[in-house]
Amino acid sequence: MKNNQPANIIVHDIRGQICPSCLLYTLREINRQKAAFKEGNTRIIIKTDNRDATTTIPDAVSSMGYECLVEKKKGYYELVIVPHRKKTIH
Amino acid sequence: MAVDKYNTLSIEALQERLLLADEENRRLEEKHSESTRYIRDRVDQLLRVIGTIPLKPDELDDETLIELDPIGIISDTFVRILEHQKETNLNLETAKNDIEAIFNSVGEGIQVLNTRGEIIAYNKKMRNLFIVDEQEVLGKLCSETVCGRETLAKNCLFRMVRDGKKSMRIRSWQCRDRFYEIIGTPVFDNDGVLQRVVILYLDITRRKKYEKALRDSEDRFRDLFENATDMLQSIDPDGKILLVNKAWRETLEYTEEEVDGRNIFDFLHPDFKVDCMNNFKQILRDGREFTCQTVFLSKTGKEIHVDGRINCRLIDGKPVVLRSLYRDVTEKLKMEEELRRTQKLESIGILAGGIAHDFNNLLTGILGNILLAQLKAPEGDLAQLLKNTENAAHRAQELTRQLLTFSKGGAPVKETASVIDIVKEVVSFTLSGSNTKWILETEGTISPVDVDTGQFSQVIENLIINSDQSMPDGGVITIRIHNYTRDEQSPEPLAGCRYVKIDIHDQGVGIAEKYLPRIFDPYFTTKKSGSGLGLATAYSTIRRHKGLLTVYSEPGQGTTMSIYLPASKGELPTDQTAAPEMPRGSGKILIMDDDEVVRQVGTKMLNLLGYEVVESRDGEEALEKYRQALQSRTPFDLVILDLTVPGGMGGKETIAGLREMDPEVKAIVSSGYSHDPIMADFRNYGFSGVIPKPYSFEKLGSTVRSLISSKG
Repeated sequence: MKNNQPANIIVHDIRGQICPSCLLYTLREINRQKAAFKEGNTRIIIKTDNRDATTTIPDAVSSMGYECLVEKKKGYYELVIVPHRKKTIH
Repeated sequence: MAVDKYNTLSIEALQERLLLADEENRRLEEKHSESTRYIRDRVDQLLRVIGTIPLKPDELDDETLIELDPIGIISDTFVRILEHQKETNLNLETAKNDIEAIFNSVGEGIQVLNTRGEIIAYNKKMRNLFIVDEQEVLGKLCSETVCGRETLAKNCLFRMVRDGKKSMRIRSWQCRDRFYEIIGTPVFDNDGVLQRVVILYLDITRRKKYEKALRDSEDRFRDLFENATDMLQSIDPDGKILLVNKAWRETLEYTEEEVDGRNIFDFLHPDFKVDCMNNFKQILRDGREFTCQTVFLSKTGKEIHVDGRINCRLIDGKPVVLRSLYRDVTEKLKMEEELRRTQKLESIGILAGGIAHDFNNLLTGILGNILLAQLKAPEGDLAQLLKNTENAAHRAQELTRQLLTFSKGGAPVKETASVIDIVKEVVSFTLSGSNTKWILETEGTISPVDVDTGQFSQVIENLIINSDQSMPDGGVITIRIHNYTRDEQSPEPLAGCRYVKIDIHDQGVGIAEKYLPRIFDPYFTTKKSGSGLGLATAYSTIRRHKGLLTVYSEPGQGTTMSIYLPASKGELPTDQTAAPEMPRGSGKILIMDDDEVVRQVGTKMLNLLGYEVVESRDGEEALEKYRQALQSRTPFDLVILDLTVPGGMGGKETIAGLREMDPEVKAIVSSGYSHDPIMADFRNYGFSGVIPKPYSFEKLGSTVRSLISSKG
């Protein structure tokens, strides 16, 4: 049975940092995980308390072909970055 | 060693070297700072490229900046972005190819228009459908290329979509003898501004043709179903009515709405529900067709008897619909019943006729002998007794007449008579004991008529009974008799010129308009105990007299029945109440009758009237005696023949033999069957006259004398 849950979850807590260092930090981590992302079984979770990051990171990530889901948590944001899902014609 | 080396330098030299070193250090720091600033500027520039905010020095010091290597990070990011864009471009190229393939391979016409209505793309099917002569139409107006002049602006889908800015559809759009369903879809840019209109053309010409064929087929089957003269029904296995036809609804007097959703058992006669339920279960069990007889109840409570045939539609072995065809046999059953009654009546009629015949023969003997006896005892007590006996014999004769009338056989034996006399006699007799009064009104001198008094009396009696019954609380029947000359307003069936018209008007309830056209139909009656034959018999009797019977009625205003009888060219016979005359004569007469008493009485009466008489028992003997007389040159002047001779030759065969022997023979037919058709139509059978039995002196004498004295 196919498991939809990625095997590899990498969590980075960068609370206390502000943009654009949050962005640079996240981009560095994405670049490091490029190969794993290509395989499609990795997701990166960024925890940040910088509000600007919830805009800058998804924009940059989207341009790279990834998808970023933002979820508000208690006192911080959780940004989940996953490989982009390919669209199919229905 | 360096220490030694420096130790050898002077203070000044060392200070100078320190200054140089400071200077070098300061330059290096400036250069570092400049490089860092350069890196920061470039990083900010790159960050702006990827759409984010610049670096903030207080958040990222130079040392951390160098350590973080943002240019490296962003560079790697750009690599990823470019890779992603390359993938995206490839995907877009593939998608474009996909769309092009779909665009061209789809079996319907598609074109893309800009906001001015100019064609900017179209597929192969579109070209096949609308574009002729391989012309290039890109950039041309759709309205010119596709519609031409055939489509009005108000029916232009492009305009509708462009102005409405939403998808629209025209379900049936005609262009160049073909039909299309067309769908227009707007295409907007990211700012919501309309850029294109895509129009899809679905060719539905064949579908329309099929739909029409289907509609026509449906119409034909519906016409057949709806207008079938038998009752058709379709019900589900629970008995719920799915469909019934017009004949079904009209027979049971329900509308479509009243039948809708109801159960078939709601319409069945209560006495037949159990049987029908059993049949119903049987067909659901084994699915076999069967026939049945059952009874429905109409909306107004009429019993509708039907013969039916029922079968079942099965799907996967399960019954889904029960189909029934019923034929309304109510009238047929009624007719059969009436036919049985009529046959019974006919049997009784034949019996009555037979009795009347024998009775008339007997009466001929009785009455003849009384008349002969009266001649021998003209006065005194004996004469009175004979007179009383004669009256009784006349009453017996009247009874015989009624029996013959009841038997209703044959054509009318007409005689010239007075309508007034017959009407007076019949009406007074019919209304005796009734609380209905009657008035007779006549106008001028009424012409005599040629009628069968028995049959005509029966007609008057029937009409008077109807009028009397229409006034249960009593009333007045007004009878008006007058001469009538046909004119343009006369009823069509009247072919003659002069008539006697008898109007019988009552003050009864009248006849409903809807019943008027049917009141003369056999077996039609609105009375519970009526046979439905009274008016029908009256009508046919009057028609046999070449007259007409009509009706005029308004509910609440009473009814007028009018009889038209052709006026007679003859004269009324002399008053019956006058003193009897003895019409004497002379000649030689051959009388043939199987009844000895009749022969003897006839002979004596004719002898008294002055005639020479020879008797014979049957036709053979009469023929023989007639031949002998001819041969001996003493021929008979007249022959009187009985019509019916049991076991021997009767009058009909005898006259044929006589005519063969002597074409000039004069013969009278005589019978107790006064309703026999030969009696009415005697001339066509070769007779010269007719005398019904029993005889009276007057009738016998005058008939014989007039024939013997006539030529030929």
